[in-house]
Amino acid sequence: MTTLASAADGRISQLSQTRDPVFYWLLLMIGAFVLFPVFALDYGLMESTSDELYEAMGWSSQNVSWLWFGLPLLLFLRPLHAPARKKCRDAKSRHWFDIGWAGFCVLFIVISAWVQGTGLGYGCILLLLGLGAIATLGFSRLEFLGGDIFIIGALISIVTLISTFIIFPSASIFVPMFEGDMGEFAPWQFLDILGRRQIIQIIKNSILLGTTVGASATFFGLLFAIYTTRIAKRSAFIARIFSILPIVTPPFVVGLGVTLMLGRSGYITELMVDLFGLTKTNWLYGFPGIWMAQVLAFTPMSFMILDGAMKSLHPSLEEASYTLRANRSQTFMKVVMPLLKPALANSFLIVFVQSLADFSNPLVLGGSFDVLATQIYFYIAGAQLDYASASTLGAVLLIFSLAIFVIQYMWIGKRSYVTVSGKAYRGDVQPLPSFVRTGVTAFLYFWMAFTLLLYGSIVFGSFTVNWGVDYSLTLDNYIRLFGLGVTEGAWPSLISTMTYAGIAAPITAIFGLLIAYIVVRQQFHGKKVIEFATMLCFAVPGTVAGVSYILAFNDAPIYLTGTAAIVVISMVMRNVPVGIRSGIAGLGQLDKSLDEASLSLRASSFGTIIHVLVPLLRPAILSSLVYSFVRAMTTVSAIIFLVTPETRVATAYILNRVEDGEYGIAIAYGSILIFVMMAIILTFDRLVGEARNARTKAKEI
Amino acid sequence: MSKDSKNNFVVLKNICKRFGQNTVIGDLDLEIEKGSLVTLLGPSGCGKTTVLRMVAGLEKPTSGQIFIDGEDVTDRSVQHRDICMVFQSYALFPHMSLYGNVAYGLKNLKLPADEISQRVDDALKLVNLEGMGDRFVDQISGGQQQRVALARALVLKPKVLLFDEPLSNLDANLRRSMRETIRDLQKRFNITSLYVTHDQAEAFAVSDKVVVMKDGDIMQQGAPSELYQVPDSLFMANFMGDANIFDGHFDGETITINGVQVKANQRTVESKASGHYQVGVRPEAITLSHEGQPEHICKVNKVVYMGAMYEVSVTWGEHELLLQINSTEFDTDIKDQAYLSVNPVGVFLLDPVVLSSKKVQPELTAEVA
Ligand SMILES: Nc1ncnc2c1ncn2[C@@H]1O[C@H](COP(=O)(O)OP(=O)(O)O)[C@@H](O)[C@H]1O
Ligand SMILES: [Mg+2]
Repeated sequence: MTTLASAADGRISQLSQTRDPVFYWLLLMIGAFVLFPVFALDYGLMESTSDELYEAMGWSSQNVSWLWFGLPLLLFLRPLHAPARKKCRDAKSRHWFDIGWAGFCVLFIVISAWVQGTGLGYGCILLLLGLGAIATLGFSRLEFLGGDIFIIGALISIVTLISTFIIFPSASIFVPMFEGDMGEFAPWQFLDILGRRQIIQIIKNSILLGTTVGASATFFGLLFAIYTTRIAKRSAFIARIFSILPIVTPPFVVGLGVTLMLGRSGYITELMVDLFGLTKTNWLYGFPGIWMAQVLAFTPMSFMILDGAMKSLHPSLEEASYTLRANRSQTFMKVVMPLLKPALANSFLIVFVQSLADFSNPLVLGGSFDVLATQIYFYIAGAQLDYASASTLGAVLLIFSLAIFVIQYMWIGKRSYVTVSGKAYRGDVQPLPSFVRTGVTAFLYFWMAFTLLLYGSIVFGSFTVNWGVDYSLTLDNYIRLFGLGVTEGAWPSLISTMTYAGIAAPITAIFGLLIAYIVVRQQFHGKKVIEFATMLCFAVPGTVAGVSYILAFNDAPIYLTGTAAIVVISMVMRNVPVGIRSGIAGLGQLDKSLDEASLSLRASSFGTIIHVLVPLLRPAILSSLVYSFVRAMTTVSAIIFLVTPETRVATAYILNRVEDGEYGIAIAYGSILIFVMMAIILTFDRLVGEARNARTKAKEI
Repeated sequence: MSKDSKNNFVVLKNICKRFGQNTVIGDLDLEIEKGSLVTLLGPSGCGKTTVLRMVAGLEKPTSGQIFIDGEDVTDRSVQHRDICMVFQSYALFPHMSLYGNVAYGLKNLKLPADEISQRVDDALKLVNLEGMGDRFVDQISGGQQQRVALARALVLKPKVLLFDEPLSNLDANLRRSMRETIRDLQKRFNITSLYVTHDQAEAFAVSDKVVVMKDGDIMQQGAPSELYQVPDSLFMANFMGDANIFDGHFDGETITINGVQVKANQRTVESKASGHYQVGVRPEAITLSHEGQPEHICKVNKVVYMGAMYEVSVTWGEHELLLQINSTEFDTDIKDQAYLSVNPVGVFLLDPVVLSSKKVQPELTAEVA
């Protein structure tokens, strides 16, 4: 035992003998200054000429970057050795100085770059990394969070990334609102914009749509939840379909499918014309069409929420109510409904926000019924290029969403973040009255039939020459997409989509897991703030995120517009909640004492994550990988603002086809995507299932 | 090593712990001698685990200091405290074999591979699991899991070993043999240990010293026999077992209760001054027989057979008493009336009673205590 103790002593004294790591980070900064361009390159590292590269080097001229890199070097004035881990006044104040100085340098760099209008380059990434590392070291030596370098570093990275890529852009959407045509300060401009008749109409439209869709989707979701929890015994497949379909369905596809059925030349419309002499064949475009497409798209979401809520209602509550002389309808109204109220409200609000943010369905089916999301797009992508109006509408959309998010958070959602894995009680509940059973069941079958028809029409439609005119079968759409070589048709966009999604997915999964780990397992002041800020990811609508990214990253100090990086970053930031949720759910099932055992067995927190948590969370991590990959592939609302012809992704390609009226090609591409993503998800399910089986078998031996 | 640090190998000084507004530990001092096993005993929710976790470094005290082997470890993280812990849930890693579990800590210390395998094998042998290193956690029984957890902690030869209700997930038979195993190994390797349990029998069986806690405070500490035979408060008297409480008088040699004189035991004679006291009598210290002095006569109200013993309730004077009499010694002919006798070993003095209030209300004394 004594040898062990002395070994520990040795370790500590050794620590104090090693050179203070701050030196190495400072050396890294010098290296970055010498080797990398510190200013942004207009055409990227590969495409720039050597002159441009030389210009971008900090040492090529007298400029502010000498200061950027020079100021941190002041920290060279320090004792050679790292201080022992002891509470020493002197050392303490130096750690505080390190942190403060690093913070000051960061601020100085960002502000001076902004004032000078110079974009930060690769060298600055390393510089900021070094400063972050120095701050991390400082905090760790001050014994914050138990002095754990990894946790502190992760926390600092999370805070930096969230501030840079969520908070900063969200704030910058408010800027053009107050800028006139010439860039002058125009404080009341937004009132003019909001006062326009057209805009008022658009806001009204959005709210009307959101409310109706929210209410309808919640109602239908409730019907299905009643079906799965109270009528059908084996209905897991419904939940499965409802959970997969919305994920694998690319945007525009549902809207286009509805058009194929009910549009001007849809087959149901034509049937109606033939049978009943329907004259108004145009009814779909506008409110009814968007309503229908959104209800189809968002009901699964409501269903998932309400199904969970109904499963967590213990049957004995209802039984108690019956024994207390309440009849069925009294029980339903007085017991079941009040208990479901939070879930119903939650579902309504979530669908409302989704409807506000939805961009693809109004674009296809809107006709003259404009909503916020599409109008913002028209302002920026159209010929008008009206940033002030786009920013104002974006701000309205953002404020709506945030307000609803706050309501949800304060009123219902205290626990909505930490996924409540409510135990599913499914005793035999009193059967429902038969007319309710028949009604609900009939409705469910109708819905299924309609969905089947819808997806059938999509697939079938992709093989027809010209829907509504010429129903003869052809492979033309597919040939034009995939038959013209890898540089033509859909290939470039498909390849970039896969690449970007492939890069984004692991980052999303790691980042999400890290946030989940810190939220679930670490205790510190300000944790609530971190939690709240990450939840903000949910709340910023995609359209707003897209606009805010071009506004925020089109200018010094951070210059990313038009690059693939911004596409990937946006995919990551939009999907981090997926990673967080699956991380939290996974961690929730792991006893905390496992981490603690690992720590008490001398593992670092990083070692604990790698050797204990990651292996045990493998299913959760895989699922967040797969789902963030698939979601990245189907994301549209933010991406369309960020892609260029070079970085065009699948959804943007489909959008262009829709705008050109080439619906056949659009749905052909959509069908391919559906199959690809379905295949990915099913394969994944299979793999996880097999891994599970293999493990149980291994145990049996 | 100085004598001082031997006696106070682990020291908790003025420890206070709050969770938000909730003060769980008010102001706690505790010392653990080197090589001894100290148990925290108390009802659930009284803060035992919290204290243990603060020693482990898994929880930071709101204020106060913790010393291990003379070093202030208050700010040191769990990895650097040289402790090991056996968790209530065992916390074995399900994705590792038994070997992997036991080797985990050694690998973190970056020891050479052959030393690791040697030490792991030794440790598994120590807990009678040799040759089972390839098994996974879910392929072994609860008792074996418990032993793996023990081996995993022992193999690091920590300065302090911590146990948080290690036996609570085992059934009764296994519990008895496991607690013996734990005690044996602890004594063999002379490992300073802190043990948490709410089970008095378990605490008595494994400990050198038992520390009884209530609502975050230490009520009394000492060797098991001391706590049972000389509890120093009404709470302790009742917590350590049942007690019949009287007002009595102690004259330095004998204790008088209800007019009956009982010789005071050695501990009492040494520690208490004469005077009026609350007197406690353990239920097993009273026996019944068919004959005796008239002041010993009592009315038998109820006899309940409990297996190992009979529980008898009697009225003696104005007192309702509870008696526990060994089944093999109880005379089943006893009905209605009997004579009782009191064994001095089971008699102890609590708080002094002020003379004027001849009849002290039990509730009142409880509050004073
Ligand atoms: N992490 C925590 N946060 C808030 N309260 C806690 C926490 N851990 C323990 N407590 C509270 O501290 C009290 C003592 O808990 P604990 O030490 O686990 O008791 P014991 O182990 O004696 O049963 C309990 O009231 C418990 O609610
Ligand atoms: Mg406990």
